[in-house]
Amino acid sequence: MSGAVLVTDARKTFVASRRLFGGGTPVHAVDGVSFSIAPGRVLGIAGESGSGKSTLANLLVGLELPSGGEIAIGGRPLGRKPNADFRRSVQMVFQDPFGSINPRFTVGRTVEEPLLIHGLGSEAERHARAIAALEEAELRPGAAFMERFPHELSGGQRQRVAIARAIVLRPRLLVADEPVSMLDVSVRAGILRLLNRLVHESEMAMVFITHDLSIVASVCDELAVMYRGRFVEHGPVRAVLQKPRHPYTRALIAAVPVPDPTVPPTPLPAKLMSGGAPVAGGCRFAPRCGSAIAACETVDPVLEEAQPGHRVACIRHREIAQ
Amino acid sequence: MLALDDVSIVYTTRSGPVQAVSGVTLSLPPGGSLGLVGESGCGKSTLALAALALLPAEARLAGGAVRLDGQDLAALPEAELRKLRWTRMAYVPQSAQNALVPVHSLRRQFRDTAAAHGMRSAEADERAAALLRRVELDAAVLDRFPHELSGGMRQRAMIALALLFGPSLLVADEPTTGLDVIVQRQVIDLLRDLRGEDGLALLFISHDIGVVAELCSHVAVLYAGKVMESGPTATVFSEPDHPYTMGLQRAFPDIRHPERSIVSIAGHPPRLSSPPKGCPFAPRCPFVQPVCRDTTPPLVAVSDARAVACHFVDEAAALRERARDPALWDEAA
Repeated sequence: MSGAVLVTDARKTFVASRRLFGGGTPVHAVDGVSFSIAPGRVLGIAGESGSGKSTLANLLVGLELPSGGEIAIGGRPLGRKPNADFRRSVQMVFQDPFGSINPRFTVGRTVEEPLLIHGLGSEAERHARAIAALEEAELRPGAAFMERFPHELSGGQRQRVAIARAIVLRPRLLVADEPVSMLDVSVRAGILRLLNRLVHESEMAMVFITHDLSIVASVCDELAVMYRGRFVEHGPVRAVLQKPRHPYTRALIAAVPVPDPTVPPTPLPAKLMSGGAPVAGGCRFAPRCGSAIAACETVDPVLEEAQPGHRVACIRHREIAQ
Repeated sequence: MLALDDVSIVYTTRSGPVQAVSGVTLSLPPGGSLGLVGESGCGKSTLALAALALLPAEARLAGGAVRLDGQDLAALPEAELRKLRWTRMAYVPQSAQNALVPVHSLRRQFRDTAAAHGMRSAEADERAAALLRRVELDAAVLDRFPHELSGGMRQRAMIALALLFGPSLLVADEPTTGLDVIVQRQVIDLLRDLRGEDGLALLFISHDIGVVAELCSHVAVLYAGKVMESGPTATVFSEPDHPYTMGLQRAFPDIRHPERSIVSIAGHPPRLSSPPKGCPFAPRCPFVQPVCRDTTPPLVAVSDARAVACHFVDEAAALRERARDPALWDEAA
């Protein structure tokens, strides 16, 4: 499957060195995650801080090296260290369009930079490709933006420049890490729709990292929910949002404020807030789970198919779905 | 209890004056809850600081008055204001992490705050333990340092500290932004329980209309330093009269309806260093008419509780119908 993203049992362990000579407890930030994304498709990865979603994003772009498992993009394995080919095949859009773009560079230089780094094209070709990328990011006419500086642009326009920079190399995978969370509500939809269109009109795949479940439907085809380093649920985005099967997904959805003052907030299980650390060998969510039974402390659930294409890691998901 | 009467605030910057707030009139009764909603640069945080008489040095009240229980805050000397802060009005900022002193235990922070207003340590400890229980924290956290607490615990500890002297006004500026959604829910639930308790009034600043819908009985929608629309949250959100509110609502996703497409509002807010003539929203408004670009619409009462600043408020029902079409908003976005 060339063009696709294939991740098999990816792991990343950090060892916090509490003492001078090591010996700290290892933290399994990503603890056995597997998925694939077809060209032209978007996988959303949602979770709270500490779920491992950002570490997973860093593994995908080669900013961190996996402790185990395989990552292949466009049929090319990451191997032991990302080479130039791998780096070209995956690009990233960051959360903060004010911090991720050099304020001293013109828009043109920012967008041409990846081409320069990879030694691609003549000066004229780089210029033309940068203009084309800006227009694809809906900054039209692209030539009019080339000489401008970031401070002359709105937040939404800056994020479009960052997107143009990310697609100018025609990557196989785009990793977008909370790309709208710092933008004003009134411009978010435009950026989400742009990302969605860029992916669906091309062979590029996208991983969309977010803590905000309310926006995933406008940009993602599939949604995975991460908890303590693992996917606990993964399926078609609307199926996951409308028929969540994992108790954690249900809690996350219930906690999202609804913009309708006549609807009372859904109460959350008290255990969700107070639960402690998971028991080794058991379900990692069990201490916070309102549906946990004794077996949940002794069985570490694996993802199993609840519906075609919809996987859940919960031993009680069939009863809970009733 | 809190009344903002025709308040205007100007920042002096190197590139000239910036009109951050223009002629804002709002009131918050004892035990009430008012949400100030808007996007970056709409003036909501500036208004929060003005309500506490805590405007930074480069900002000045260029017009109007801020009154707390009828007392004009501008007329009070700094020493008097310092007494009012904490005892009568308290502030919960966005990032409790930065608001708490990192090298002091919580007990020390409660005691220091108490001492500044003449409360003895023993009494402070007693109050602190009770308040921490009120925000559902174990009193044992008194001997912890801020970095030992999670983001949600710090924010709740901050709220407990703000309540030390039993203030009658709590000003909270995006207190849940940056928190995980489950922790955010916990903080919202806490603030909802606290508002109205012993007459505590809540002035709540947010960009998130979902949070305001859950927490505030009244809302004011701000744009470019002006109130576009204000009234009871239930009716403002169910039947918005101002095109900006209509757009904001269509731009805001609703988790219950993943199939519904969200819109962008084309364009961007005006630069407040050179505010445009006429309605500030006119350059982005899909219903704009020539009069909107010439004449600033005043904020007029449309019913007992609601006020709207739009020339076409009489046609609001028809505009609401047209606003349902996503294509209307996205043409130039």
